[in-house]
Amino acid sequence: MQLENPKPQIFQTGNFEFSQQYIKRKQQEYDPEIEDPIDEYEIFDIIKTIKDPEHSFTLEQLNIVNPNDIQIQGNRVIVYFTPTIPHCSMAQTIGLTLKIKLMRSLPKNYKIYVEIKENMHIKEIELNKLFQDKERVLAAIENQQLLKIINFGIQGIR
Amino acid sequence: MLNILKQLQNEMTSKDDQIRAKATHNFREQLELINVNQEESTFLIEFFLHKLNDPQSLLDTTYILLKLSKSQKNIHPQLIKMIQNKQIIIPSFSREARINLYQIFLIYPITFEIASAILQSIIGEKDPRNILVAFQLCDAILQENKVGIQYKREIFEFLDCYYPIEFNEKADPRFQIKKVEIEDILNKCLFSEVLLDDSILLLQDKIVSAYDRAQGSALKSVMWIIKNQNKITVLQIEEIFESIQKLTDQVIMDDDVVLLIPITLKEICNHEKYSKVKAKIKKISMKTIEEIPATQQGFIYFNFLKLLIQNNDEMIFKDIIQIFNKKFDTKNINVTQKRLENVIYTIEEYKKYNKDYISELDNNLKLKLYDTLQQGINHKVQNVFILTLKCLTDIMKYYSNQLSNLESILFNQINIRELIEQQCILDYFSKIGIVDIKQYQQLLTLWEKNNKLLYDYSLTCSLYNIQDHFSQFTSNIISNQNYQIKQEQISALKSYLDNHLILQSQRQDQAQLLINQIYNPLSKNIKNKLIKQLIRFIFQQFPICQKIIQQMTLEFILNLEDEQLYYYIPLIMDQELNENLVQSILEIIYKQEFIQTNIQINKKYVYKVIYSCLSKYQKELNLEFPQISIMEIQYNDYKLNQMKLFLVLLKQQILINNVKAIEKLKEISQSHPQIICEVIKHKDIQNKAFLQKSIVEIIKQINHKQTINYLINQIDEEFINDLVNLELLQLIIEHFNDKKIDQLKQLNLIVNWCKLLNLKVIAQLAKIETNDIKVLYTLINIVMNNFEEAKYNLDLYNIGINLFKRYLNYHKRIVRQAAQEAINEWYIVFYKGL
Repeated sequence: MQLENPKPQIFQTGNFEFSQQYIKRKQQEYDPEIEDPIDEYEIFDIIKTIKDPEHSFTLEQLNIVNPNDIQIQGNRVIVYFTPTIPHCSMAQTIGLTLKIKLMRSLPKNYKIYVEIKENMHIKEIELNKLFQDKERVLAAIENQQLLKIINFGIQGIR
Repeated sequence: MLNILKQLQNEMTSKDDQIRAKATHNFREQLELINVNQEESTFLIEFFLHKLNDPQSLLDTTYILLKLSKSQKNIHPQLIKMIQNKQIIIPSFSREARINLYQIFLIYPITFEIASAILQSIIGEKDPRNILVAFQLCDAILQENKVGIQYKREIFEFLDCYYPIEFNEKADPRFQIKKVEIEDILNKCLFSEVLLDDSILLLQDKIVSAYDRAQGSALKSVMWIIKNQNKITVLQIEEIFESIQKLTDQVIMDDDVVLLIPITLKEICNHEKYSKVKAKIKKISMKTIEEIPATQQGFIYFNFLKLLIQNNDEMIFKDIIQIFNKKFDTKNINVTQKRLENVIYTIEEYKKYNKDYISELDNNLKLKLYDTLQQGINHKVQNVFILTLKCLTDIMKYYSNQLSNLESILFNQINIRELIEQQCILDYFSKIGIVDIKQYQQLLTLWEKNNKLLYDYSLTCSLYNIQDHFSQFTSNIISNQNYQIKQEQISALKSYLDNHLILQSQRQDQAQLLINQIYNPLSKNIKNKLIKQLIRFIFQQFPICQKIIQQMTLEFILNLEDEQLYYYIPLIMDQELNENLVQSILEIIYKQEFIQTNIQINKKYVYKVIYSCLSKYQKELNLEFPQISIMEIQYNDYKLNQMKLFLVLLKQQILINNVKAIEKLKEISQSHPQIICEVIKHKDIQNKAFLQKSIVEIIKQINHKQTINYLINQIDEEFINDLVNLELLQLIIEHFNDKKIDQLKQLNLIVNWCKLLNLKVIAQLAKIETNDIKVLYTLINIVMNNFEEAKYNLDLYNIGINLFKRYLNYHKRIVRQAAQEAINEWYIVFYKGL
């Protein structure tokens, strides 16, 4: 099977881990008195290890997801992702994988919005509608083959 | 089996997960009872290979495939194809499913296709039980030379990340594999002929790595290679030795590694093939102890030379003495001391293996050695003087013409030296003997008036030289408070009593003198362990204890003070006892009103005496209890030991169904729950249903929280098997609401050994509310580990998932992340969406 994007650009990971804010955040984790709110970095940690369906790289390595593209407004989590190429056919699978993993990993009261970043994909509007429609998402994962691919992506092995 | 399959057809293909799972399980159970022929099994294998895509029945399916494969000659090609096309991805299966599939591969001879399928299946294996089988598979591939060479790179890449392996076999008893097993098989694979060249480089890396455990494991691997791998070349061994040399140049923090290096070097030297390397190692060792003896390197290489002495044909004493004579420098104290110690330890090793060291030296060397040691004898620094004297003690018997010369030097110095140096001089005299006895007696007379301590010490050497002081010596031995002197004196006395050159009657008289003094009821003895050991020694050598034994009755013992009783215990342990004494003790056990007797046994050593008697006749009396030494380690307080003795008596009473004894047990268990556990574990109680019932009733009535917690702590396989009472275990689980991590782990044990209670335990865990992060972490781990086995029970799955979901909005991130990981893993294995 020919790859759509045979030579994707690979990015360095963990750049933000040297920032003062991140370091302080990490230190606080070991103090039982201080509460750790769910923040962008935590959401990013959940989704960064997901593997791309085509390659053996993670979404972080391909810069498909980035902590700057995550917003948290109360109990609303909005994740924007950037497919590697504008006509990437795996965008739907990636979006569904992100949505499923977040729905499994976050408390029930959180509302999760997964969207393709503006002007980054030719079918942006269509796919964003799919990701927002809970019924369609549940119907999609009824497909065993698709569920298999999603689970492989979440597990991180090929 | 095909008919059974037809009958289960509808259930096997049902849309309901649970029905499918049950059907597969039924099929598996049937398969255990029936043999399948080859034709049938081929068909069945093909059917069940497709069923691998049904995660609810995965475990049973893999087990069925394993069973069926055993009757096949070749592996089913469909399985290989499915693995290669990624229709099944074995690393994503649960542990048991994975190991079943690995075992299928083990059945068949290795071909290129099978090897490729194996290497795809074992990637990322983490569970130790599976890792062991994965290594066995790698070994099987490597045995087939051509296949091994083809997949050399992949196998090496798989194995090298596990090396060196760290496995704690005590951490989880479920594993039931030993560290040695796993290390051996890893060594066998990594250092096989095919991978040897690459692995040697890896090995060298690990030897010089900064990580202690890697160094230790690498050295052990070197020893393994030397014993088991013939194909290693001399050049490779030389390179390994160079890495070891580099390692010794570093500062090594781990003491085990420091001890391991000489052993490894010795192993290399034991092999005839590596004689060239051996010569190199020896040369470097000698050079190191010549130039830098007082360093870690010096220590390591000297230890190597010491080990070399074991070999019959090795002669290193001459080289050591040559270095000593050349480099004995009294200016640098540390180095001087080290050089002296080297000589002393070398002589010790030679003596250990009955080798003659002095014959290695020619006359010149011998003379030069004595001259060098003279520098030490006149040295002002204490340690140098003492070490020199020790050295001279070992060799003076070969310098008989120098004895009186050295003696007069020491006599001149003895009164100006420190006490410890004086004692060393006296030790020298007691071992070598005294030439000028008159001068020694003058010194004795002087010390008797002016230096009591030295006089006492000097009596030690008197034993060998002047008989007149013996009775003084004997009374001194008992009353002397100075531990070191007492020790020396007792050691000297033992040597005297053991010296068969002296008449038996003479020695016996002296022994009798001592015994009379100790067992005199009027003498106020102070308890002393050394004297107790001496008494045992004397009674073994001489038949002088009958009189004392005859007078030992129970009444006599109960009237003695503790300090006096102390010295009767060795008699009880080693000698045949008075029948009256044994009879009286038996009466205590079987008397109905025995509870009153407890009051009498309230002295510390009385209980010990009775206990020792009972221990001696355990078998005959059909009593079972731990040895006194074990008991004293367990309970420091002698009152608890008394309680234990009481319990022995109580248990005997319980066995004959003494109602009063059972009531007493009820009373004691409230405050001493350990007693209930011991009673439960008593073998005789297992066969008596009425007793079991009584014990269950007693436990049910226990209100004391600490008691229940204690019982939970005692839960182990023996406890559960002995109790054999599910109702009681359920009761214990229901009471469980402790949040301490150790307690949670105990609960975990119940799940391991009593699967029926799984659901109950998990349900109980799900109720625990706590804010402690570590406890939460432990909780999550316990559930994860146990669900590994019970995953396919949907009830447990549901409860478990709910348990984790509770922690998704916990206020600490660490806990949330642990729960997220667990949930995602399970969704994947269980093949669920949301």
